[in-house]
Amino acid sequence: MIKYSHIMIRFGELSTKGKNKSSFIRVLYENIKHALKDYSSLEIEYRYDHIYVYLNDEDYEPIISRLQDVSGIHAMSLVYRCEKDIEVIKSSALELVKQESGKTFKVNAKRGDKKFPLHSDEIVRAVAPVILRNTDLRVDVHHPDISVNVEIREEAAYIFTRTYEGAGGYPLGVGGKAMHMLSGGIDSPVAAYLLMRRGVKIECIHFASPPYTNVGVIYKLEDLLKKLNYYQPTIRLSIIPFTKIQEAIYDNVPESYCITVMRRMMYRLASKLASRRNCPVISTGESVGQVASQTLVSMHVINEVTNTPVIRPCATMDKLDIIAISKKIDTYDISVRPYEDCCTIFTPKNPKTAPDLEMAKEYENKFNYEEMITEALNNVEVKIIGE
Amino acid sequence: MANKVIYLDHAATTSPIKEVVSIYNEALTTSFYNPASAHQAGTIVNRELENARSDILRSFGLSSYNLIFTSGASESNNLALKGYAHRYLRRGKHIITSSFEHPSVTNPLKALENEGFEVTYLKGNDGYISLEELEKAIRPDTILVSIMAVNNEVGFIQDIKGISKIVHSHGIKLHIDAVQAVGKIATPYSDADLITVSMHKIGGLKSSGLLLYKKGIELTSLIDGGGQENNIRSGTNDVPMALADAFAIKYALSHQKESYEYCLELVKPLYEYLSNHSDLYEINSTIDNPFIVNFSFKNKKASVFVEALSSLGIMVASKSACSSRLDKGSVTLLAIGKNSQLANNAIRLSFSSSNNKEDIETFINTLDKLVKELRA
Repeated sequence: MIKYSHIMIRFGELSTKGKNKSSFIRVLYENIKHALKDYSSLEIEYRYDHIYVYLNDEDYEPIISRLQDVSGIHAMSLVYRCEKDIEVIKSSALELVKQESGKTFKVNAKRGDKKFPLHSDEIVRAVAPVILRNTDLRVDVHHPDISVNVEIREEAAYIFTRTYEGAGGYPLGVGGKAMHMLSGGIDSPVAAYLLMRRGVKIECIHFASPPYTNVGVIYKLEDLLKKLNYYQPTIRLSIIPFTKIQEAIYDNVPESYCITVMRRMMYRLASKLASRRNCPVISTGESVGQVASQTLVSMHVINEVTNTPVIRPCATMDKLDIIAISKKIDTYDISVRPYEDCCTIFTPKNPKTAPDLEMAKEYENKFNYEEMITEALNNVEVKIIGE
Repeated sequence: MANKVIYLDHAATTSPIKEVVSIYNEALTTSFYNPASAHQAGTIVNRELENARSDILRSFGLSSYNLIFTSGASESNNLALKGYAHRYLRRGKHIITSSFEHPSVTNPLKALENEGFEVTYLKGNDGYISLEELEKAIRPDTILVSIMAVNNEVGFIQDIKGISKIVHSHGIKLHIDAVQAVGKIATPYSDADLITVSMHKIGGLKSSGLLLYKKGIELTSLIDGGGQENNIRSGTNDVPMALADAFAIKYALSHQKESYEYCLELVKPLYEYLSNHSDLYEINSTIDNPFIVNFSFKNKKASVFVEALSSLGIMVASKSACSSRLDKGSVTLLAIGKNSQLANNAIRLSFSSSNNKEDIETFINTLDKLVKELRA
């Protein structure tokens, strides 16, 4: 059984220059440390363009698996350490290659320690024949199945043949904060996850209308956020008391405009809370065209209430793709629990797919929504899910 | 949840009687032994077990019956139906029941149908078994009739005497689910051949039920193993539970008349309120069974009321789900002729002698207020 010495982590889009780079690396480093906090024997450090996770005899599989969900990592390699002796290097490289599957290989060498007797070319010429003689592999210098990388450094020689793909994206935290509307359906947790992958931390806002909505919805949200804690360890959930506003809409607005006006109120509340909480953008799980309120015209009429930018990560995704992600992040089964965030009493049978902005404004001006919005924001219930 | 709870869902479950808990607690330490053990301690608790068994049978006035301790009414129903059907399938494979039974009766019967049994579901007259329909449904290959003595949703009391006369005249056996009858409604238990009882509905503990059945009847076991309960229901006997059960049964049956009179007085104002507002409410139950009051909203959504009442500390039952996805509604109400709005928006209140006049008053006042305020 080969004992790897460490995992070498490479960043992708982080190849930004200058000041940004070091803060990105620092954030990624902290996120990796946090993700691996249960493994007390690991040592994690960062140097120049890589982060290194020293295994210290820990089994690498669960660690790689965990790291594959940490955004900001482009790729990871499992590295074997050995003496700076060419014979040892040759036999170790052979052993490592035998673990991999493929038909072709290529040897790359880097000589960091200039005192080492062989140049990089000579190292390649020493190692490659050993592999050729002892395996059925052929050399392919353009698109090898197996890439044998030998690095000679001051303290030791390092060989790696296996590289895993990372999650890509940016480290959580470098992207700022978004105020995310969490309904409890399938889409909003997926949208949250997609944002987190781009390095954006989220705070959530949910509109509750008891007794029209059931207490079970809140438990559902907690469970959804616990799943998302895997990607963002602490998530703040603000629950807005929406009952009064919901009833006022029901009393004053014709049925076909109820959803439009309701969504306008939600956007107002979300953008006010976003500004209070220093979130420069709002985000939602909306996609184009699934339900009446999600046609482009509806979006336009609804969005009109604010000029806070709205990000809709699922906007152009097919429902099937959204469901696939939802299953991958393990939120699907929770999302389909039968507690709805909006009582069917308030969902019209024939909602307007192309509402008129002036009409929407006319209807909502029939009641004093500004006052109700202020009151709602003064009675927010906050829950912190996670650490 | 609010601080003070007014519990109006006793048909779903009850809080255990204090003495039941203390008997059980004490027995957990003093009588924990396995009654099947050869040693003296086992022999002693076995005696306690058998005493509990005969006490229960005596309380029912059925000393000539057998009694099996089960894990609850669901198991008792499964054992009665599947156990009887499998034992006597050579006599016939036809079973008769009603269209408004509890799922722990309908679902085992569905399972039996999948095995090749035939089941007739009597339509009844608005929730009551029609003796003519029953008579007509009986065939030469009918082996069993299963009827719920008291309905758990609307409280209807079946004419067990009349039903048993017809059933027995054809040499067929009668099984009754007496879960909502014990300790509440005077029931002619000796007219039934098999009787299902649930302990947690009468102030006893959960995970405990009984199946009483006439001597001479044989049942195919569901749970095989060490051969306890005469090989019909294996599993180490729970002596502390049996002692708790014996007390709860005695208590329930001896207080039946008193409880009945008490709840009768209790619900009169409730019926008055509901009938005075017949534009809002449709009453589905009758005062014959004062333990269960069932009414539907004529044009409102019950689930919202359940939620609103809950947050004010009043716990009631309903099959009306908040979600548009769960279109459950009440099968029983539909079966007794109520339309879809009524079947989907019913509320069931169920009482015990632990409720008082104030509970009812508070409920009426709260409901009245909510019905004016909610946009349901």
